[in-house]
Amino acid sequence: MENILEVKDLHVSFQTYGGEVKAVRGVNFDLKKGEAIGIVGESGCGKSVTAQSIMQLLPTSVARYKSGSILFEGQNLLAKTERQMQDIRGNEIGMIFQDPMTSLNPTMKIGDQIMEGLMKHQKLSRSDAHKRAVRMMELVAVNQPEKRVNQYPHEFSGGMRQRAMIAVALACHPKILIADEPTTALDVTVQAQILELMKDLQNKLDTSIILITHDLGVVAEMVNRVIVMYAGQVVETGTVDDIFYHSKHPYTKGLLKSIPRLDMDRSRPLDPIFGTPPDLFTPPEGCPFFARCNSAMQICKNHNPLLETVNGQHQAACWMNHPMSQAAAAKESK
Amino acid sequence: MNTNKSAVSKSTEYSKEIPLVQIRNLKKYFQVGNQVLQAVDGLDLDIYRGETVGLVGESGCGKSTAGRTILRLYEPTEGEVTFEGANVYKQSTSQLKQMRKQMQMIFQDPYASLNPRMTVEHIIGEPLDIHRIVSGKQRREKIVELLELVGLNGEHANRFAHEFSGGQRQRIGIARALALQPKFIVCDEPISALDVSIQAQVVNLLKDLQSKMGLTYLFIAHDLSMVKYISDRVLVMYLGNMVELAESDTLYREPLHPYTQALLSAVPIPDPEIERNRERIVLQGDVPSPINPPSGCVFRTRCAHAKEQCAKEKPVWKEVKPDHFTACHLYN
Repeated sequence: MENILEVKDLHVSFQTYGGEVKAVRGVNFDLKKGEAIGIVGESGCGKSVTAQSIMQLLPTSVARYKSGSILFEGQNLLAKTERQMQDIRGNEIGMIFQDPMTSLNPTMKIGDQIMEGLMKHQKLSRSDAHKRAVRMMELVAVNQPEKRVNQYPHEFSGGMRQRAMIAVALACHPKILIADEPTTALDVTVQAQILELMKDLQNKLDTSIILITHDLGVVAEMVNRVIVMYAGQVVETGTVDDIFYHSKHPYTKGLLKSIPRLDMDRSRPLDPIFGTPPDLFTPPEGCPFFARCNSAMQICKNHNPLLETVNGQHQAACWMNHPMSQAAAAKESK
Repeated sequence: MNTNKSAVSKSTEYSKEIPLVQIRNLKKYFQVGNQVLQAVDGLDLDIYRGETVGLVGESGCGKSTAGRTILRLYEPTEGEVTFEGANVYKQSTSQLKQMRKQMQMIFQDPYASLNPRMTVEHIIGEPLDIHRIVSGKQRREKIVELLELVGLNGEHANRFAHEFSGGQRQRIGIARALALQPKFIVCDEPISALDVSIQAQVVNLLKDLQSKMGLTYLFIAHDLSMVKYISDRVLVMYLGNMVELAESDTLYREPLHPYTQALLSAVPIPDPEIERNRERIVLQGDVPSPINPPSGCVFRTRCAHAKEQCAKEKPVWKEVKPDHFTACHLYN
């Protein structure tokens, strides 16, 4: 399958009074047509910055793209002008945000917010756009769509607003949908509805999805491939099975061990990851997970491991996966 | 079944005899304009010494209001709560102040619940000052001791809240709640605002403190997997009403109420194999407004098993199996 999006060696920094925050430090990944990938990690790991870089939504006054490229159908988005980006946002790449309360315009009717993109990008007339808006509302399973398009966001519940936002994002049938924590603000039963809807729409519209979340349960349910980020870097990537059953990075293993599961024995103590992520003003020279890692070695302190292929699509950035360390371990065990 | 039962009683070390907190028919209504919002509509619960009762439900189900009303941070509309046999709502101001030493609260948002203009020493010392527990050098020692208890250290005492991460702030909030050596703590979503890897640290700390100090928790949360893990018993609420109460393992193994079943089935499990083969009960629609709750059973508008009877009569709360309570017409 062809890659619809390729992120190559992306570095993004923010200029602040305190100095330069190196939020994203060399991220590589690609997205295939019709595929759903998940980016997971804790707050501050750079997952949202990566997503917003794709959409070029970061504030230009403080954000700096230090190096790298983001190729969408072969064209570098980082080289586009704001004008050109406007033709891509909402049209080719749609985005939904975490908080449906603040990301819809409270002074505009829901219908108008769906129509805005249709009229601008697809040059539809007002009445045609209105018809499409009603159809979109039906598609995202909002009852009484004719009535609902004329209402304002405050007349919608949280789950309904998120549906409306999905309708806005998908109105122009974008090739990629970026969902940044789409269900974090929602209750579990509503989350289940929204995830079901997203899966259903992905099948119907053949959209590629980048799902950004900290919830490993949501990832297990929704995506084919996972990218685990830590301190601005990709530390592990692979299929869901690779990540959940054969994880090779101590951080991923730690994350999986630290969450209690519904089907888990209560007498087993939780296994937390100690400490906190590093400060990105002065990211550590070596492996960013060094300070919290139970298996840390001398080399980890000074040298940052690169992503090494474990097998197939599965890659992990850990010295323990380095071919030479594997050989050494094999020797030792003999 | 018998083997399961013995496993349960083994894991629950709390005493069944005297409840520390008894909640009887507790109601809390709020006046909204000229309408009445029924936030908590009849809560009956005994909380025993040393146990953790989990209180779960979706936003707006009244779980936080219940927690606050139990501590009398809100005056109840109806009902009573007794703490060690004394009616919480009948205490005079000075008696209540004494009682508050025994009952504390840990809040959800570690950013909003610490005063940004106070040092950590000041924050943790405030309850000690108000109740005149210790002063001078001892006060400082006590604060350092509390900080160490929650995994921080004495050097942190002179810093301000903004200098700490979310997890550390929550530890400060816990140290403040522990300062008066309470018996009962209402934990209102204490980990919801924290990152996954930090949540486990805080939960382990809470469990550890419980066994060290013999604490009793009412643990309010919407994260069902975490609630199951930390609680001995779990109470499910929906729209201000009690839905189901059982031992934690029992509730998750065989939920009786259709709402509990749907709620559990909605939780994503971090295991792709299970997720691929899972049949999910997806509830339709949203939670109705607590201002005009549905007649009869409040869940009937979203329930797949709703009958005519459900609209007419409110289901009674009954013990369907030993120690397993629910309010549903399916079990009458």
